Formats: sequence, structure tokens, C-alpha cells
Amino acid sequence: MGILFELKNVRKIYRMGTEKVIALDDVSLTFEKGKIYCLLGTSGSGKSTLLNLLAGLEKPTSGSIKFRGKALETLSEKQLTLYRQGYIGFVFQSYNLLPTLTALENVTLPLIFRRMPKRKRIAAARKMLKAVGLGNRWRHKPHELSGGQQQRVSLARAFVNEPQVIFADEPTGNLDTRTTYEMMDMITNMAREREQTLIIVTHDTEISQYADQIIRVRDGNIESITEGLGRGPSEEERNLENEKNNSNATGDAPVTDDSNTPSGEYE
Amino acid sequence: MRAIDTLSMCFRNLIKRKLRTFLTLLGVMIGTGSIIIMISLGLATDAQFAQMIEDMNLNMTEIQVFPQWGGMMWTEDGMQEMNQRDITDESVERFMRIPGVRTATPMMNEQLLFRSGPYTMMASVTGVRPEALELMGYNLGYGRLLQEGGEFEAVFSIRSERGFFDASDGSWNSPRQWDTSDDVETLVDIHEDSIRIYYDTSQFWNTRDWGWGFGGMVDEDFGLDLEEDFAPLRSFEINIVGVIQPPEIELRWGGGTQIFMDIETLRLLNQMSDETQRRQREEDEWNPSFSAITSGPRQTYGDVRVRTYSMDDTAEVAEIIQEMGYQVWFPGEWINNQREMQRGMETLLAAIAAVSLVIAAINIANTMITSVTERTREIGVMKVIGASISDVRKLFLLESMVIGILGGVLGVGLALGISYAMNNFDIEFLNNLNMGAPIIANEGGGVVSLITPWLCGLALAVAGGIGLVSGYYPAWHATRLSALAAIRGD
Repeated sequence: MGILFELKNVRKIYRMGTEKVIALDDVSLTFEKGKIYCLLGTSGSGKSTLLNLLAGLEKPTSGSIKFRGKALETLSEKQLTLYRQGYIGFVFQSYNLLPTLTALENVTLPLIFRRMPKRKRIAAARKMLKAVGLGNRWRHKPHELSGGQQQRVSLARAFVNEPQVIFADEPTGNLDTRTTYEMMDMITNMAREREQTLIIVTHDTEISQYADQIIRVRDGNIESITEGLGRGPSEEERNLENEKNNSNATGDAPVTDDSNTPSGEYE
Repeated sequence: MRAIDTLSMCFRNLIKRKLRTFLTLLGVMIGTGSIIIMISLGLATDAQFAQMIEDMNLNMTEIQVFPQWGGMMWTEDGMQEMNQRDITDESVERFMRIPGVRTATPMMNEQLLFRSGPYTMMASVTGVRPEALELMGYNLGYGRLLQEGGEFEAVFSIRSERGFFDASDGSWNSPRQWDTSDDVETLVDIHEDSIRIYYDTSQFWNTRDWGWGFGGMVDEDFGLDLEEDFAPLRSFEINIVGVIQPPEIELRWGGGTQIFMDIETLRLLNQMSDETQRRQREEDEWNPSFSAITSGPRQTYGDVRVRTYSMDDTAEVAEIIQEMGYQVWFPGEWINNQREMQRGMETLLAAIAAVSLVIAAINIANTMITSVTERTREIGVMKVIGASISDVRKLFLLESMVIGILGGVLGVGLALGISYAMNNFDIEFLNNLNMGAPIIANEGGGVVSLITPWLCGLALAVAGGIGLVSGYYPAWHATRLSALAAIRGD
């Protein structure tokens, strides 16, 4: 398998007023095509920064990030836009669907930016929504969907432009355990089916087991790279987990309500 | 992003925030509407002035020059000793040489006695230079105007012959003369009948005993024996070469009776008359009244008309003539004063209206900034999933431009409504604003407020432009947002 990303001595420093914060110290890494990666670390470890650099949302202070041999830090804003349109998909922790658009329209959005004709992009989006199991809910607005459903819409949106790499930033952070596994199964299966590279950012060690390779990030450096299971927990493990949860959580219903829906719904 | 998608997204966002969009639109609507109304008042006044000039034949290129009487006079600079300034042929030549002057002609008015068959007419004849008549701006009904060397030629107006009356019964009055309707049967047909002018008539007037009776001057002898009375008088036959069609409003006011002849002919008649009177005076010491009127051969004129090539030159030429020491009057002066006053008022009103437009612009900017702030996360997401900087910019610019244009459309509607109301209901207050002009407006069926298609177009363009300008900063701000900060921003 070929190399997708190649990072060499990447350093990222944020300026917070007069203080300098070293988000990434000295990172050298390679990501291969078609594999599933997990960037594991605590909050503030630099894992999200790494993700943003890979997505071309930020530029490294020093060092280089090559995508298929091309240095991202040398690209213009326009080229970066084309890079994002053509090669990457993004799944956010808080779904970040546009509240004014229906599920279908949200999924078509990346295609709209790519200037795809209406008929073609709607066909692609409906196919994608069917793939995430929301074939009959395409007409709904985000606030009419549960958290899990919203995340599935966002999943469809990330996959719809057939990217080579999918970034998932704490994709299950707002979901309950059961939905988390569903979501993780779905996202990893879809990536594997399409032979896409998936890079998941999380602080959850259980989720990290879905990855082929777990990259632990700590204080801006790579602490270790280990092999993951490449799959989620087995049936028995899940049942065990459920029982444990039910006894602990005094029978509360799983939290599907999401206090973190995108704002801006007021008139 | 395709234009159609940008547009559809933009409308969704506006509809989503109905109340806020509506309130912002309201601001633009009021601003645009009031500007249109204010301009429409000005347009209506301008149209009224133009109509007035046309109606009253106030030719903007005409200057009337009068002699300056001597003595103390009250002027703009206080009491001043003025030198007497007569208008002679040389002065007329000098007027002609002023740059911008097309022509200048002295005007000379004489009461002449006309006769055609058994009918008589006393009429005022205006003597002008033949070549000048054409340039004076009179509308020829048919025929031609005067020509050089046509001493016995005359140009009538369409109602000149209404002055003929039958003097055999002693009444010196033609009731037709005061009739302002169009078809009045006249006694004389100027195309068929021979018309003679009797001059050197002082003897004729002197020998009669005049008094006043019903309906005007009457000959106390009751009756005029045409053969006997006219036989000793000198006369010549005139050739009516053309007829002038005066403007409608002049006809309404009883005009349209002017007669023009070559000024040289009139001068000659005058001289002969003076000659006779001088002889008479020598014979008859007891008739001092006429000697006072006829004071030697006339070499000065009481009235000269100067025409400029364009109305832009008129004021300047008038000033030059004034500096030569003559009195001037030109319709342009009055109109310009009126207009200036009107303009001042309109500018003030438009400035007030402009303030509301500025407020509307600020309002749009405010709405858009709120919108950008509120949609920070959305903007970030769009950028991450592939929106280009220009997509984001277009989205917000279009949104504010649409607010501007929609507000403009509503404003045009509002203005049309108000304009309709103003034109169809008598609003005293507005009449007062349009000083003087509404009288004419009402008479001529004019309007108080005039909204032309180009005004609507202009208003829409301005409203759209204001939207665009107001949206510029918010849109720029949106493109500058860091996608990351926008997403994280919770």
C-alpha cells in the first residue's frame, strides 16, 4: 500500500498573547492508504492540532506535511480548497449540520461546493443516506433528528464526495455507548469497503481498538505507535458493558438528546 | 459553488430569519421610498416648469431690452443716479455683436386703421426687422414670414381679422374680438378680400367729435360715411403673406391677434404722419394735445428683443446689456429664480430622505454582522467541507444585496402608492411645498409627484448598491474567520 501522508519534524506553536504554547513539538509520521488510524490522547495533547494540519486547516510552524508527495504547507488557499473538496471528508464531534438545510441538502453540500449539477448530486446524496440507514429521513431538518441520526447524516456528508481520507474528530463524543458502537461500526465498515484511509481522533481507548494503528500523542509528541484490533468489541463484551451501564446509571434512558446542536436557529 | 445554489442558500437564510429580514427590509423600504418621493416632487416641478414655458411661450432665449430712464432710481445698491440711455439703431447693432446673440430687433407698435370693403379695424401693428421675425420663435400657421423689401407685406395671427367691424351704425367695437372660442364667423376673409391700411389719419381723427358710450368709443355723429370720410386719406393695399399660430394658452387668454410688418414701413408711415401733424400745428395753434404726442421723428425704440442661441447664454448676454446701461427682462430670469428656490427646498428634503437611507444601510450592516457572528460555526463547517473563500464571500454579499434590492422593490411600491395618493387627493401641505407651481399643475392637469421608470430603476440600483456596500465588511469578516476557531467556538 502506498503512502498517503508523510510528516517530517512537524512543529506547531500557538501564540496566546505573549505566551507561546507548543501544540506539536516534533512529529514525524506516515499514514498509508486504506488503513484506519487512531490519534489517541488527552485533551491538550496535540491530537486535534495534528488533525487540523492534515486537513490543511492550519499550517505547521516548521516541518513539512506531504499528501501524496505534495507539501500541504506550500499550497495556496485556493489549492487547499480544492484539496478539501476532492480528497478529504470530515466528521465532527458535534455533527455540525447546517440547520437551515434538510438532511439531503446537508449531504449534497460538499458536492454543491464542487459545482456538481443538481440531479447528479441529489442522486449521490440519496445513495449515501441509504448507506447510513437514513433513506427515508432525507427530508428532515437537523433539529428533527436524534443525535445518532444527525451524526449519520454528517457521516453521509463526509463520504459523499468519495474522498481518499476521512477525518473523524471525536465522532462519538456526544453519543451514548450503544450508539457509539453503532457509529464506529458504520464508519469503519464504510471506510474499509471504499478502501479509504480513516483517521480518528479520540481520548477513548476502547474506540481506539477499531484502528489498525493507534498513535498515542502526549504533550505534542508521539508517545507510542501500537497495533489496534482493527475491529470493535465482540458481542459478549458489548453485553457486558451494557449490563454494567444499566446497573450504574439507575435505568436512565440513553442520552440521545444533544445540547450541542449547531447554534443559530433563532430568528 | 454555482450561482443558482448560492442564491437558493441565500434565500433560505433570509427566510429562516423572517422577522429580522423583514425589519431590515422595512428600513430599506422606507429609505428608498422617501428618496423616490422627494425626487419625484422635483421631477414633477421640473415637468411643470417645462409645461409652463411651453404654455406661456416663455422662450428662454429671449431678452427684452428697454431704455433706461434718467434720474434717481432705487436699485439693489440703494438709491442711484441713473443716466438716461435711449435705444437707437446703433445700440441694436451693438446688441447683435454680443457673442451668443442670434438676432436683435427693435419692436415698434403703431395703431393703424385697416379697411376692407365696408369694414373697419383699428389694430396695433408690431414693426420688426423682417429677417428677425423668423428667429423670434413664432409658429407659422401657414404662408411665410416677412421678407426683406416687402414694404406692403403683413403677417397676421389666426384671430387678427376678428377686429373688423361694421362702423356704419356708429359703434366702434367688434364683439368677435373678445370671443375666445375657435370658430367665429368674421366679416373679412383675409385670403379673398383686399385689405388697405389708411395712414396719415390725424386729420380724420381731429375732425371728429369723440365721446364714450355703451360698448366703447362712439362717433357722436352716429355713423361713418365710408366714402366721404376715407376718401381724403392716403392708403395702400397690404399683402398678407402668412398667418401665425400662437400657443394654446395665449388663445385662451384672448390673444392671437398680433400683426407684424416691416419696421421700416411703420417708420415711414410715422414720419409722414409727423410731417402732416407739424403742418397742422402750424395752422392750428389751438390744438396742443397732439403736439405733445408727436415729438419729432422717432429714432429711439421703447422695446428691443434680443435672442440668444441657447438658454445657457441668456443670463450672460442680459448682464452684458445691463452693463451697457439698459433695462432688461427675460423670462429665464424669473424661471431661474423660481427653480432655484424650488431646488433648495428639494435638496433639503432629499437630504432628509438620504439620512433614512444611510440608517437603512447601517441597519443592513448590523443585520449582516449579527448574521455572520451567529453563523460562525456554519461558516467554519462550510469551509472545512469544501467551500472556497469566494463562496463564503458571495454568500454573504448576495444576502445583503438581496435585502437591498427587495427593500428597494418594496420602496418603489411604497413610493408609487404615496405618489398616487398625492396626485389624486388634494394635500394642502404639499401644495405649499411646491411653491407656485401647483397652480399651473392643476390647470394643466399636471402632477405633484412624478415617478418615471428610470427613477425606479435608479432607486433599485442604489438600494442594491447600498446592500452590497453594507454587506462588504460582514462578508470580509466571514471569509477571515478561522474555520477551526469557528467550529471549536463553543
